[in-house]
Amino acid sequence: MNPGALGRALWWWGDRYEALTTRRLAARGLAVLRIGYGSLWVLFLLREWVERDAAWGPGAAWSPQIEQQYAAQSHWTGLPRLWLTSLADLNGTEFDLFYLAAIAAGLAFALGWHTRVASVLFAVAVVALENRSPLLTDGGDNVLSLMSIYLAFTACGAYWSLDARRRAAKAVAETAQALPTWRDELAAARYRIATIAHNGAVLVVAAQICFIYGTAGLLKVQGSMWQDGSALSYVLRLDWFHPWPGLSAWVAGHAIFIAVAGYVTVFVQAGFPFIVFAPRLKYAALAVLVFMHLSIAVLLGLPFFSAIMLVGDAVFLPDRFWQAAARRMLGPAYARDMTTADGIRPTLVFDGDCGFCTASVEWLKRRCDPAVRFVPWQWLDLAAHGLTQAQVTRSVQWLPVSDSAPIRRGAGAAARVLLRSRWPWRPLGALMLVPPISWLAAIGYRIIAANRYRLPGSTPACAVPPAREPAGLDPVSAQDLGDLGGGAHDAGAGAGRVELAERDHAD
Amino acid sequence: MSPSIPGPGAAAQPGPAPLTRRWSRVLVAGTAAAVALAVLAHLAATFLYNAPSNPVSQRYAKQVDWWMNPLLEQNWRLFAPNPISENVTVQARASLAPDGRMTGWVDLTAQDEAAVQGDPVPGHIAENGLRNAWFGWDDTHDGNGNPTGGNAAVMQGYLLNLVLSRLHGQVDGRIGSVQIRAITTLIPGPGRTPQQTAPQTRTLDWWTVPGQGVSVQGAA
Repeated sequence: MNPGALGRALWWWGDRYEALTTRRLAARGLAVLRIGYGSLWVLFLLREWVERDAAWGPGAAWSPQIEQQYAAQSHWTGLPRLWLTSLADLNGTEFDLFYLAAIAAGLAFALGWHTRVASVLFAVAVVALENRSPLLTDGGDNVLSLMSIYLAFTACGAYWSLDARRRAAKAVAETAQALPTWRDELAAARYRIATIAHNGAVLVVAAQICFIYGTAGLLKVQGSMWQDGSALSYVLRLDWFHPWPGLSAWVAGHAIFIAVAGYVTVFVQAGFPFIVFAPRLKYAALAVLVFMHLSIAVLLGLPFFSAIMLVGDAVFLPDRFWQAAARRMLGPAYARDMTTADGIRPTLVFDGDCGFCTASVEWLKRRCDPAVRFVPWQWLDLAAHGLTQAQVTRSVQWLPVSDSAPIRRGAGAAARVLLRSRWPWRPLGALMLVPPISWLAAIGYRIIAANRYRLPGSTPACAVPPAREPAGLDPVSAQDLGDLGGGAHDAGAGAGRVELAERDHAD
Repeated sequence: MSPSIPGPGAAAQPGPAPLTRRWSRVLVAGTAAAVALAVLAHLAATFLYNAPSNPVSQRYAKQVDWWMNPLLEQNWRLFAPNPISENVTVQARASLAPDGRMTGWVDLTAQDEAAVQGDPVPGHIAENGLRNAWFGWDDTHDGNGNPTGGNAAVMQGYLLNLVLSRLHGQVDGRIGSVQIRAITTLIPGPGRTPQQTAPQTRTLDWWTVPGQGVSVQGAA
């Protein structure tokens, strides 16, 4: 190996090392696991509230005597033994207090309230309760128990948690303080150590799920009933897993479907440890698993088992996916966080004198506020953007982020605004760009624009003078506009004209 | 919010400051090595624990057992290699103290099934309790009811407790001893003759309730 190659190899490893010690893998996926497992635990405990004493309390059939006998037989020693048998000797009141504390731990964990502490308490509670009556559990309890231990090593409170909210608020309030250098150094080292533990635990969580599916799948391959495609027909006729006998019988009557579903189950389970490395096939496999677990939840009456397995699968979805999901669900609130970071966003120039236009913009703002900046042309240095007064009074103008992209107007501009809006308006924006709908939209826009002073909402009499805020723009948006170079009060004067050019066309 | 400063909370994951001292670099590198080793050990142990018995898992059985038990115990035989293909009905009757009056058979499994039916979120006791208790006992005892496994006494004590707690409130009097029977019915399928799928009843011996028996307040 020549020195150049060696150097490159060392550089590559250094790069990997730096990444694994500073970047937290699947941070959003882990937040989903935290929220999912915490909530499922709380729901599970509430479901079993009435039967808590007979299941795990002093009235449990797995008596303290049996528990001790079993612990001795299994050679449990030391701390694990103490942990696993800790609930056996509680009296009724103590057990109820523990049960309530376990619910509280689940809530704190799901909400991400002091997540580090909450995650440890969550693991303590889950493992203690799940081992109080070992023969009462099913595979879901087993998974939950393991995951609660693994999650205690992760930074699962980094996103979508009360902790994250508090940190964000603190970051605003906090001014840069001069700390001793060793404390800065310690903080940096601490962050890295937490990151290393997190990344290790994420790998373990992902591997554990592969072990589960891989083991279940490879064992099924050896089973004659899975080979001849009859396995599911037996499962559907088990009286123990039979909440809806009519439905189970109906499904069991479809032999072809049963055989195909059985094969697909085995293939996806056995192949899962390999499929996760195929970025596109992964989604198909996960879709199959979602269907499989939904069927198990309903047909076999195992909703908690299914939900626990599905939550675990979330670790295989990348942060990109969860960001998109959050965008879809939270809409503008999420986009605000994303777009104010760089201050670069496209701008819609409209006529601030026109009541109908302002009302329409208000409507649009509610649907896509931070993703698009809305500026009345009266505030704008038109020449700097290559616009004329004739253009801006005739139709709205779309100033794209990129210099190279052309300015759009009219229906095309409106469509691009809608494209950046919240569900369900986004597809409408896309449609408006596709011929021949785009032609119709252009004609429609022209008709509306020509008659805008006649339309409801239009108030030509109360047209706002250029020096003042146009009607309907709230103070916040006026402040937002402040970063365009001109304040609300000096707009109109030559020096106060809004300068969009530098920032918006920067890249 | 000052207009000229980009909004807060917008920066993605903030990276930490670079390390500048030797002690911190050593600390981080040491942690990385320890975590890497622990993860490797855990993955290897988990694999050997779940894999069928082989020369490697036999050789390191002790270490794997030490690592996995009891906190990380796992079993993923989810309907594998073959799903259960029989329905088992567990019934019990009691002999009441002091006169030895016998109750009729109480179909505990039928009660569980009735509780599960129509419930979108069935409880653990109805769904897993009796099933696991029965199979746990069955796995640790031979055809004559003699113990075969190390946990035989535990399983028998558990099954007895569970049946007693279930009979509680269903019989009127003090239970002196209990008898359990299991009716196993193979689910019909390809290659299964009607003779094979006929219900088979297995009746266990009478089990004396330890101590002075369980005092039961009748639900009548």
